[in-house]
Amino acid sequence: MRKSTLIFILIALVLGIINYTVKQRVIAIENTLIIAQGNIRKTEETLQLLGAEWSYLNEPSRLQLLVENHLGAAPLKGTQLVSYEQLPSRTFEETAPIHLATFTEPR
Amino acid sequence: MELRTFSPAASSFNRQKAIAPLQGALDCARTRLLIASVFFCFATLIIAGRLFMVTVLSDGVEPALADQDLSKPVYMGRANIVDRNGEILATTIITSSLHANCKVIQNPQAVADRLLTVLPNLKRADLIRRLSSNRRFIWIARHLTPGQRHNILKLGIPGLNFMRDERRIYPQGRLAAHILGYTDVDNYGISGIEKGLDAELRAKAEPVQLSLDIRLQHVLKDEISKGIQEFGARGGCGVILNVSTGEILAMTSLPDFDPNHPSQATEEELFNKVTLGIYEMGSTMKIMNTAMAIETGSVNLATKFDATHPLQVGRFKVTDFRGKNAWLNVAEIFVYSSNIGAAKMALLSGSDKQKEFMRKLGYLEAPRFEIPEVGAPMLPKKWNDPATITISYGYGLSISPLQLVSGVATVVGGGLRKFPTALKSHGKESQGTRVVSEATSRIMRELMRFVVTNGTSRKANIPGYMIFGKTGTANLRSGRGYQKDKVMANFIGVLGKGYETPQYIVYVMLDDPKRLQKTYGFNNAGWNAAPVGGRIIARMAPILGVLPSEKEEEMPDAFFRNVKF
Repeated sequence: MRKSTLIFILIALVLGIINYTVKQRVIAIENTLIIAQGNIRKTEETLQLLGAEWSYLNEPSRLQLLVENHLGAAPLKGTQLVSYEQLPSRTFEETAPIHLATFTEPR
Repeated sequence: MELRTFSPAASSFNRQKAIAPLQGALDCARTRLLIASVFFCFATLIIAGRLFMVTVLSDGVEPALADQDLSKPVYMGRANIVDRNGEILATTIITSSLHANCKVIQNPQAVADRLLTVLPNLKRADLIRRLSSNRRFIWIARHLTPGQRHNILKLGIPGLNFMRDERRIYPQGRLAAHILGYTDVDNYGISGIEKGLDAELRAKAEPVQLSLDIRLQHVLKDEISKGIQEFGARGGCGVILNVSTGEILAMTSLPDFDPNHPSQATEEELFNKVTLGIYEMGSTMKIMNTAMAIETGSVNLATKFDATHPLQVGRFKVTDFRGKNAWLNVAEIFVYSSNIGAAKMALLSGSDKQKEFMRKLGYLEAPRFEIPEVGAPMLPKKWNDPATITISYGYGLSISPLQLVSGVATVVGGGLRKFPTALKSHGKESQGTRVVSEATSRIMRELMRFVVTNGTSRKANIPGYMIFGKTGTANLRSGRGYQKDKVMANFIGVLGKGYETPQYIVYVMLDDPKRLQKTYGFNNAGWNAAPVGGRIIARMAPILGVLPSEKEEEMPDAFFRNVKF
């Protein structure tokens, strides 16, 4: 058998093995992708369901009933609102300097 | 081969002789082989070259990493409908529907009994009959919850299968029923937004965002239903509208229905009073009438009209409710809500100008709106003087509450006509066409402020808030005439920041409120619709972040400084 034939067979073999492994890996990744997409879909469905439930639980008339029965809170009145400008500003007194806490080494 | 051993000399001669013709064939074969191998070599080279190009010299055609756009939501059936804050109003959930292959089912009675432990609503006899039918596919129950599905799977009955199904649900129930509408079994929209935006909802994956705010929607619905109970009304409706954008923040029509079970609703419940209902609006139309008279220059605030005697028009007589029997100026006519005065103002302006003004406000045709249930206005047969007179105080021209609200938004909100919309208009203000001038609009706000502080809408006055308002009480029609004691009470209020910036419009309508002891025997809007409107404004203002101001602003117009009501 000639040397070149041997080399070619060897190259073909190596390429074949590489091709096979790459293909197997692609198939495996594709399977993972399909599973991941399925999971995304399932999660989306669950989210949709949970969103619906959250919205149902947050229905204002239900909340109002719960508040009236359990909290005794009344609707907010306009007079309870205060704008930022109306807040009294914090006063810093010039005479009294800020005292920093002094730490003493524990004996 | 034997020849060789037998006679070499002869054989060599013979060999030469024998090979000679073969030589040509061999040469021919060699050339063919060469051609073939050269051909294959070229083919291999081309493939190799192409492989090299694709794998090594990848010129950006094939990305190294497969990309998937995850920013777009996965299509999950019909798109959601959400309110302006993203709260879900309508969504599609995946349910399971149970079907059976009767050829596999062994014992229909036993299967039916076991199924009934999970689904007690099924009819046993009917189920047994259908399970024994020997068909390959029958529905047993549609849209089961995950829990029910789990329990049925636990029964382990062969021949039962689940199919993936989609179902439209409305988690907020009745809250925004009329604006949302509903779908049929196959998830096609058949009313409301579901129908109006059906194509978009079916194609898109992103949710459709409405202009509604469910908090305001609840406030509106809660207060109006309390009002209906309190005043013994048959029904009612209401709207909250953002003046600058034309967005509908809340819209309710009572009695309402549960869009999750539309088949259980009655005709009356399904009827959307706000958009489909066509009513004579009574005195609230005096807003348009006064604006028209001032805008066309027919009158100014000081122009006086004789309201001492009823106005005789053909067979009927225009009278005032608790009239002052005096000469009244335009401001007084509006604040006291004098029919006689309003009629005379309209006559002075003329039918043509009135009709033109109504056309500009869009009162001569059905409004443009996102939901298909929109009623066209009912116009007078002939727009002559009697029609002009009745229209001036709100009879003879029937419009929908939606049109009234958008008209008031136009007149009071700066004079630009903007189309009401149920979709969120992400911050951009619509331009609109001018109907009345800025000055007329301001005069109207001042007049409506007087109605709240001194006139018929006093019960809607919330201390600290700048509310402009007008009430209207219209007798309900019965056939050709009017019912004496059945009225429709309207209140339209505008909440503003000072005189210059009207912000929100609140409309309340009560259908047939009763005369009660606590309303001192009145069934007029000032006694029922106005206080309901006031309560709505008091509750919605903090939600919208409108702060009350301590001091009442002075009337900007010099005319009002010298008048007393």
